Parts: sequence; C-alpha cells; structure tokens
Amino acid sequence: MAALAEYADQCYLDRLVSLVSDSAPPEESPSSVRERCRELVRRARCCGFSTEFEVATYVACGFVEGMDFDQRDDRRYRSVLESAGLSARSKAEMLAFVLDNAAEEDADED
Amino acid sequence: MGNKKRKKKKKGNQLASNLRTGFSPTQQAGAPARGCPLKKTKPCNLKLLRLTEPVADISGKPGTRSAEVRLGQTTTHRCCPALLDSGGVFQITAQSDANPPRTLKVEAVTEAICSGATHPELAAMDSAGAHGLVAKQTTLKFSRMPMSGDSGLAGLWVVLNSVFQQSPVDYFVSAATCGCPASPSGTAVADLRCVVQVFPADVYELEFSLPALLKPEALSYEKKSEEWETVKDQKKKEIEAAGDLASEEYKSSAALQQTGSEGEFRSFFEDLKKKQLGEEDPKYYDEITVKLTQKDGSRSLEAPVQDIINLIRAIDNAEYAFKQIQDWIENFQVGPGVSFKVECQFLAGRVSAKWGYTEYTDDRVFFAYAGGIKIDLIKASMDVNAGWKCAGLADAFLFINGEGTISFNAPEIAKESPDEAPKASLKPEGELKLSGGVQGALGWIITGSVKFEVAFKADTEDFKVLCDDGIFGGKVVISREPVFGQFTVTLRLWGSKTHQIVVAKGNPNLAEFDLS
Repeated sequence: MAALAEYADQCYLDRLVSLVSDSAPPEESPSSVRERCRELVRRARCCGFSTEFEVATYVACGFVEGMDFDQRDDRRYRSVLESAGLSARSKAEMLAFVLDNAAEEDADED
Repeated sequence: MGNKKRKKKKKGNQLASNLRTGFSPTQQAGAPARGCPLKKTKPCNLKLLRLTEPVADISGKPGTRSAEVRLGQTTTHRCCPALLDSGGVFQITAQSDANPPRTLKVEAVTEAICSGATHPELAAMDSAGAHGLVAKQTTLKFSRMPMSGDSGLAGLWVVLNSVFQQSPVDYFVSAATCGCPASPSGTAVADLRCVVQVFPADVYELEFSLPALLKPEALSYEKKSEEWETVKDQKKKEIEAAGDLASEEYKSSAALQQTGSEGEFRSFFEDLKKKQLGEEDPKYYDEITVKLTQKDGSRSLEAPVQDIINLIRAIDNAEYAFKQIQDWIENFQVGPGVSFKVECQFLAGRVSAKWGYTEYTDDRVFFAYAGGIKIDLIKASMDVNAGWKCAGLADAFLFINGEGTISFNAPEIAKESPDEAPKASLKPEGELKLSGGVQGALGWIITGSVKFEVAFKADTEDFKVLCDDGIFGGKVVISREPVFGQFTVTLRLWGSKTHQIVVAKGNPNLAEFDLS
C-alpha cells in the first residue's frame, strides 16, 4: 500500500513538472524544477490545499509569479490565500483566475 | 507588447487552461484513486448562476440589469437577463470610493443540494477582497480603482485622458456544488464561474471655446517697417524703448546712480511698461473658456486649465509661421507706395463634448459620447489693389484678393449603444484661395501681365475627436501649395508669349497644431 502511495506521489510530481516546465528558466535543471515543485507542494498542503487541482494551481503560481508570490501585495494572491471564509477549492479557483488575469495585466502594461 | 510579456501572457492563459483540464478538483493530490466510481451520491447540482444589479445606471437612467450563467450557454446580448456561458463576463460601471459602492446580487440556483452545510458554496471577489460562504446568494460591492484626476490637482490633458488610460478591473465569481445531477441522464454542473468587469462610471464634460487668437488688426504689414509686425512685436519694441529711455536717464543722473544699478532701474521701467501694455496678462487668455468637469457620482471635479497654455503657445508659433506669406508677396517687387490688407484668424471656435463608460441594458458596458465641434482652423482674407505710373510712359497695376476658411465642423456626434459606431468627418473642410496678378504696359509697344493663384489647405495626422480612442488628439498641419504665375508679354510687332513661372515654392508645414 505504501509503495502504491509512493508511486502515485511520483506520478503526480511528474505531471506537475510537465505542467510548469515551460515556465521554468531554460537554464534550470530538471532536478531543480522537480525540487521546487516538491517544495511548493509542501507549502500548498500547509495552506490546506489537498486536491490535484488545488495543489497544482499553487505550484503553477509559484513558477509563473515567483516562489514568494504568496507574500506579494502587488497582486491579489495574498488576499485570496488569507481570506478566512473561502474553501480550499474556491481559493484555488481564484488563484487560477488571478494567474490568468495577472498575465493579461502584465501584457497590457507592456 | 514585448516578447517577454507576450510569452508570459501565453503561459498564464495556457497554465490556467491546463490546470482545469488536467487536474481533478476532487481527487487527492499524489494519492491513489479511492472509492467506487459507481457509488451513489446524494443529488447536488447547479442550474445557473444569476447576477442582478438592482440599481443600475443605464446611460444616466436608473434600472435593473441581470445576467444568467449556464454551462454551455451560447452568449446572448441585447436581452435582459443576458445569457452567458460559464466563465462569461458581466460588465458594470462603478464610482470611486468617495461614493456609495455599486452593488451586485449573486444567486446560485440549484437543482438539488446535498446538505446546506457545505453547498452551494459561493466564492467571489469585490472591492473589499475575496469572500466565500455557503449560501444561495450574496451581495458584492464595487468601487472603481483610483484615477489620476481624483486628487483634483492633475492637469487638463491628464484628466481628459484618464478614462482612456484605465483598464477595467476583473473580479471572479463562482458557485460550487458536488455536481451530482438529480436524474442519471442530467448534466453534472459542479461549478459555474463568471467575471465581473468594472469600468469607471465617471462622466466627463468639456466646454472649450477659443477666441480668434489672431484678430484682423493683430497682423498688419506696414511698408515703413519693411517687415511684418504683430501687436506683440510692437509691444516688445515699446518695452525695449522704455528700457532704453530708463538707461539714458540713469546714466545722466548722479542721484539715480547712487540708489541702485542701471539694470534694476531699466528692469523697473520695462516692467512698468509691460503692465501698461497688459503684456503680463495677455487679453486672449481671458477670452479662452475651458471647462472640463469630471462627475464621479455626487462628486464633481474641475480640471485646471494651465495645460491649455501649451496650446496657446503652439498657436502663437503658428502666427509667426503665417508671416512667411511675406516671402512670396515680396517676390513681386512692386515698388513703393503699395499697401496690403491681410486679415487672418487661427483656431477660433468651440468644442462641447460629454463622454464616459455607461451601462447598456444587457450585460455590456460601452463608451458613450456625444458632442459637437466647430473650429475655424484658419480664416483669412486679402485685398490688395495698387497702381503705378512712371512719367506717363509706363504703368502697372497689381491686384490680389481672396478669402476662405478651413474648418472642422461636426455639429452632432453621439454614440448611444455598444452596437453602433458613429464616425465624424475628421477631415478639415474648405480652403483659403487667393488670386491676383500684375498688368503693365511700357508705352504702346509692350504690355505684360502675371496672373497667379495660391491655395492654403489643412490636413491631419492621427487626428481624433470624439471617437472610441479619445476626445482630442493628433496634429493639424496647414500647408501652402506652390504659387505658379502665368507671365504673358505682348509686343505689338511680334505677337505674345506666355511662360509659367514659380512665384513661390510650396510650404507643406506652414503651421502645425499638436493637440496630443
């Protein structure tokens, strides 16, 4: 059973690496990307994220906006993560929305 | 848009899309799949998400707007409620936080609910932040983001352009359930999402009127001075003369020399003369009317008019450019005793406009505007008649006359719905055409004549007025076409001959008004 859980965990990590590989700097090695994913998964779980979608959203935000995205005040990530009334699912939905929207804002500013 | 940002935008959009399609919202991350997929669950499903704006501002009139969000719905505008697909956009306007916020009621309509303890879950952002609650409805409050004109200290053009520089702000709204339809053949709708897009509700009104900055008497040609002089030139000379007089007095008076320096004494008298002549406060500044009002709900801001001075300076420069008309008049070399009467006015007229984002009866917000423009870019007339005789043997007669107006004239422009895009004629109308000639005879043997015609025209560069991109902007360039003359000489013995001569070259940039 433990081996099955370990295998499922590795498979999920592989999918996360595949998801964010385009957002990682080209010079970053695959092992480093994998390590950052593992770190962001750990932080996501500390925020109460548990489903595939919730954790993957947190990891994606970390790769696109920087590892400190949850501390930045210039975007709405922090306020979403600190909103007490929101479920983990809703927080993840909002993070995905802010991620999408922030990319458009950056493009407009340019 | 730079490559880096374009790449990031693509990444952000692509990631958000991949997240929703590639990762389960219910499966635990990194854990083996659990439970039987055929396991029966209690029905808990969404039907639609309804947005209602109870106190809407529909082109200045109060009303109610609403939209219904359904899964797979084809977007349908021009109806109330508007119909949107999940992820669709509902646009509203909102005033600044100095006013009460615009409210929006969000309602989750369900087919069935598992238990009131966990579903339906509403999650939404508004101006106060992100909210989540288990309920069938909630109310959101929106204010627009701060704008550069809010302090009341920004310049005219800043306020004028502020509404165009603010992008709408997007807020996320969602409703979630288990996604178990009541009947096995039903469609599972676990969640419905939409975006509330908030535009500034500020309404701007501009009243802009300019006097004729170059009045007929302001530009005159006197042969004795051998050059064109404006009233400004004449005043400058008078001020200099006052200074010279003061310097002479200073040098001849030992008492004055003990009280201060020559420069101070000269400066004092020059300033005195300036005041006498009204140079410190040119009268046309008083005749300019510029009133730009930004109405933000109950708050009304008026923009300072200092920026208009830049425009006045541009027109001042144009005044000197127009004096280049002298170049081609002098080419005639008609001799002494000739006087000209030239009258011209630049940029006299009036602009009135009203614009701002407004809500339409459906889910959309559009940029509404209305107004009228009448500006004479240049209005001029010339009338010259001069005769010349020499001991009865030779004579010559010169005549130049003509008049014209080049103007912008768009009496009524209005955009009152998002589905129409009225276009105003943005090209200058009319032209200023002058014609004339010289006829002369030497005794009874030779007669000659020169006839010419010159036209002044105006064109625009990126000129925009009362359109979706702006109220005012771009350049107006006034040009003079080349002046050709038909020169005819008739000799009684050998017949006549006609030549075309270039009296003056064209000037494609005689005057330029930059309104950006």
